[in-house]
Amino acid sequence: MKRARQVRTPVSSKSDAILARMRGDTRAYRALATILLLSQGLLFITTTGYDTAIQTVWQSALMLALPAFLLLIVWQGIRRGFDSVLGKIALISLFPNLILDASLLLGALTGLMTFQIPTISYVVCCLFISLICLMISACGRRNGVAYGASAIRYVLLFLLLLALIGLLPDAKISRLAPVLGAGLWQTATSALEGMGSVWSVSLLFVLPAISLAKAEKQAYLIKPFRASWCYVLLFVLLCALWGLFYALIRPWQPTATLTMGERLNALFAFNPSVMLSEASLLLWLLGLPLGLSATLTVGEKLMHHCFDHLPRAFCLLPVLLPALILTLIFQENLLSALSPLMPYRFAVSLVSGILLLIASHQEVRS
Amino acid sequence: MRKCLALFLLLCVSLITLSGCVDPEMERQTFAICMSLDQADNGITLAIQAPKNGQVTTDGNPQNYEIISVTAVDLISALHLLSVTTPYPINYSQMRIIVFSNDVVQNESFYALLTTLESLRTMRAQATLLISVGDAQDILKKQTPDFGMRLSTHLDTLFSLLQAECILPVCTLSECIRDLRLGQIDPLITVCAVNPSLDQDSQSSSGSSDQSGGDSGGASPAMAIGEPWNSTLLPSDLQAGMLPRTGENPVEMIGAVALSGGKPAGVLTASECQLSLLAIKEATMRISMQEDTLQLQLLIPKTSLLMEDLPALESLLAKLLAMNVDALGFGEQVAMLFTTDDDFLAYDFSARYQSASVVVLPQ
Repeated sequence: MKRARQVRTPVSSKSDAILARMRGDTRAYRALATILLLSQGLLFITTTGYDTAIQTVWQSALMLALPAFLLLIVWQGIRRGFDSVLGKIALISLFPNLILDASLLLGALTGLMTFQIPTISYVVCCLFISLICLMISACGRRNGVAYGASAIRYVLLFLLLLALIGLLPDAKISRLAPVLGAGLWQTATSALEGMGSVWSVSLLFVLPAISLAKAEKQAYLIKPFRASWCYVLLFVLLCALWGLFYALIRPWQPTATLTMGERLNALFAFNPSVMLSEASLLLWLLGLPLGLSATLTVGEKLMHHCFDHLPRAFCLLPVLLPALILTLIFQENLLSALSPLMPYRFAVSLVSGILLLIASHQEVRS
Repeated sequence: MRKCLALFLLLCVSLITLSGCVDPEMERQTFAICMSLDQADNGITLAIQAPKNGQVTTDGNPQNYEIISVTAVDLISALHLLSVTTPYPINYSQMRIIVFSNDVVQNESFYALLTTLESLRTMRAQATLLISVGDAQDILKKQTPDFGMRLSTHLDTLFSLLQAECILPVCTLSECIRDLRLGQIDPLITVCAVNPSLDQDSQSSSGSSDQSGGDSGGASPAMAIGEPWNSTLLPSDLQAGMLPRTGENPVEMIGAVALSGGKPAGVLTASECQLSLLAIKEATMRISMQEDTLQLQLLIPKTSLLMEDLPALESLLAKLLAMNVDALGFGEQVAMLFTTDDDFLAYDFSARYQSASVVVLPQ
């Protein structure tokens, strides 16, 4: 953990050191936001996208670029206003999104683990995962989760590509045909359902702004984040690639009866190599807990930013507890219960962005 | 200090919940290697073959494997009966082959049987499907891996070699379900049979002492595994259960059953099966559609092995058309000509396939 936080950039003065550390922190938080974004995108394709769009699920993933870039345009304009009352209200309004994300990630991970080890009860597994993620977020250093996520970002990318390359022998171009599937409207409907998964674009901007120390924040606020579109493009391309392989493999007949564990495991069952198949499962087993810890950390940062007198460990609970309760209530039906709410995460993020934009303008004017 | 304590507690909880100790131990599970399904008077007979628990099975001696069978009205009941009558939990994660008797495939819904098997949590999706000539359970009883090899290794090696050489079709549980569901290609399933001339039980009952299977001196050089034998086509008269060879293993796997609409439509001989698989691998398919006429074109590269016997390929295609079996996957090519699923369904390829003309063209 100590090594992960070390800054190796040579510096000549204290201000340089602050700037270098600020850059490192910012990069780590953007990596964390991208991992959150990607985990929601991949889960959307695996859980609902493929069932609706089937062989055009990759087109539906490409269509996600539209809401993602719309959010990017709105959030890119926000440089100030995070400390104003309106800004804090806007940030707090992101909590329902975090709770939904955390429930989905917790439900997915519990579903996968109970599928792999059926003798573990769903409740015990769910509580255990929550406890682990709570401890990771609570016991870590101030930017520990972000640096941890940043450190394994290439491992996750490698596992994702490994999983897909292992599936190549079974992939067939002809399974993409007819190329428009049930029609463009059906694909667009699927994309609308997945629109909520892009809400984390806002975190690319929120996390560095609320996590940096005050001295660093001034430096951050001066420099605009021009490369943000690269992160969004990476998200869209990886989601489209993931969706493309679902179309090329066609792992199951669209049906609502599949459990979460079966869905997460289904694609890898077509991997001819047992070793590659097991390695591919690591993608979920690493990515989902990391995503959940990241969600809790984001919740903690938002709470701490808005109510700075609250203890840090307490700030994790407003996201974890509702998510845990939702997961324990609905268990295997979690997906069908939360699906109608999922697209609204986009609207919440958009409204929050607009509020912050207003707050930012007010601050500039004053 | 507090963090250390927290980590220690976390480790303790992990040891209890994630160590896998809650799962039955390895030696207290029954790992089924093979499965068979036969038609019985009052339903289905399901059998599994598994290594005997607690025994170190380093070779393929049939005595090291046990066959357990149950009979029930349907597959779900049979699976349930099997699980409640076997002392140790059955684990299907090492399943290598699932043998269906021809009667079962004819009389039951094959797709429903496959989806039921796939729904078993531990079932191995890559288990190879076979259709037996005669009793499927007999295949399990009689199979003896050559050279004392372990049964699972024997089957893995055999399939990987013969499938790579386009002798046997690759038809696993998950792939067959997908092909039947999509309906754009008809699956081919390997035929297996017991060679009576190599079966010691049948020989002892008939009083015969001859161990050789037919004309052993005339065994085809094409069957000499390990040699560069992929440069020739198989002889046309090879059939599972009647191969002219000697050996300890009386079970033979060669040729394929062609399915149409999930039901067996006919049997392809070893050479026909090889031609089909080579055509899928090497030939290019092209479709010509003009109003009501459909022409399926198969373009053969000049360097292909298929060029050696074009008349045989043409007669194979005619046979497949007559059986209404699209084993080569023309349906997939036709689907690519349509932009939406509705257009493709409206075209009704499966109804037009039988009346289509097939042309083989050297490229």
